Amino acid sequence: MSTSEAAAGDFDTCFRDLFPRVARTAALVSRDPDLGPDIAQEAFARLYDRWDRIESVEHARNFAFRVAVNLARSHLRRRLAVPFGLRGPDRPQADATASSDAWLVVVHALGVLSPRQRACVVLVDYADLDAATAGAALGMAEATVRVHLMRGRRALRAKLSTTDQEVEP
Amino acid sequence: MTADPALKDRLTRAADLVPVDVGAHLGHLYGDRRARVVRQRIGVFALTAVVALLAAAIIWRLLPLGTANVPVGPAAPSGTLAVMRGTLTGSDGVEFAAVAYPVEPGGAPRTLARTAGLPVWSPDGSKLAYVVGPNHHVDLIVADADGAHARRIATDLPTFGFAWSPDGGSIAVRTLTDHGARVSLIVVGTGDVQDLPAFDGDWWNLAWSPDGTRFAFAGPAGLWAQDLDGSHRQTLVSDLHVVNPEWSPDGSVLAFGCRPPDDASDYRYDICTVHADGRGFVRFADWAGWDAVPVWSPDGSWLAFASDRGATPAQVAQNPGGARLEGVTIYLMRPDGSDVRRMVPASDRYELVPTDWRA
Repeated sequence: MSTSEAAAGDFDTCFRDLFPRVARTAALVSRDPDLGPDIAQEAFARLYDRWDRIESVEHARNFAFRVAVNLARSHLRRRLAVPFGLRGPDRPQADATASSDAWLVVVHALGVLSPRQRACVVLVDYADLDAATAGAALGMAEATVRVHLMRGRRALRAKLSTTDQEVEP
Repeated sequence: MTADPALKDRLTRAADLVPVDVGAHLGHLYGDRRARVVRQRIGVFALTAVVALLAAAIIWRLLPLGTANVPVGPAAPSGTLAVMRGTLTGSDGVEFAAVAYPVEPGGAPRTLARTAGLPVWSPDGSKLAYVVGPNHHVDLIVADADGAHARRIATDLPTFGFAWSPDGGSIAVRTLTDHGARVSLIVVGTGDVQDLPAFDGDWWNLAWSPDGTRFAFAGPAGLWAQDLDGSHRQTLVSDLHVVNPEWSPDGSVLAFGCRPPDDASDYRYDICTVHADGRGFVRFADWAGWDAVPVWSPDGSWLAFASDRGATPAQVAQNPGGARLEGVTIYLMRPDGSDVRRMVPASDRYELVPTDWRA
């Protein structure tokens, strides 16, 4: 077995361990259930390209999350830059997910957060990264992550609480 | 700082609904690698050639299109455009504003709304409607024509554009049901909603004819028109991906953006026109880039549209796959495709997309 094949074997394990969480993180940040796996696919393709320079599982994890979150935020920018169907919808809605109350409520609530707050909350409260690691992924200081996290959590709790009260009989 | 348990639970329950097929994605990744390497190598050579060719072409093309060469006199266009101006805001993306741009050279732009997309004046010019929010989740706002006294008349619409009724009393929007898209009319004065019967076909944009009797629908398979009650469906254009149709002021012609349906890059669009009876289709394909969102002058003698034909070679090279379309600005032309002229120079700080034109 060559070195690259051995690395590919390790890559397989890494992929299977991390891919679902990275894909769902990207889905939450972009608020698009179809897009999350596509973004994760691209993030892992880039990870594969530099696999021989990856030093540890933590290194691979941080790289994948960093690329995925940046791509998700770039997607937001693209959607904003060519908005409102000027080129037609870029992809169909995922009916099963899009019609689920649990998804709709959370995605609607995430919409009140700024893109940075949303990325911080999803990385820490969903993906289980600590503030320092999330900061490295987002290109922010740890203290900045904590500020965005605090404000994002406050806004998210308030929005979810309001929504929960609205749907109670 | 560790995860908040309550929020983690809510986020996890939502995220778990996102279907992820790990095996399929892993297989796709390995299968894609070889093709990707080949594409990258070809791309380096192709990009160099394209940039050189485009630089020569753009220099040749821009020289006669400068504002100094715009003729004046009776044929000159006039009036005011409603424009969607997208401005970079650092890492947080692009913000859109509604801005009024005088068509005559030298006029100063005036901001109508600082956060707004698709600004369109009512037919009598007394009101301005626009949307705010991300795609699929927009709120519809109506204000005075100068942007004052804005009020929200509908929220969380999955709309891709909207259309004023000819009398200005209501606005038609695209809404969704379990069976597909339908048209809903929102009464401007009250915000009341009236759902029309479902229209067959996959569509995302609609336009309301000036005489009030017909809708034109644009979608992935073409353009068609129907009476408001769903009757008298007539295919106007087929086998093209069509966006942003607009009726001419006399209702005789529709202008729209189009591209082949199988163009996965979703980049190159052309301005097209077709008569309301489906005859006389014309595609203005003189620019191999993004020409879209045509709007008619009030007298029907000009079309304004958005294009990246004035972008720098570097912008043109990145636009097909880039994170955003750069170098987009406003151009004018006659409805027969002649007399193309740039109205506003392209900027590296913002993009300009015309969305309405009034006298």
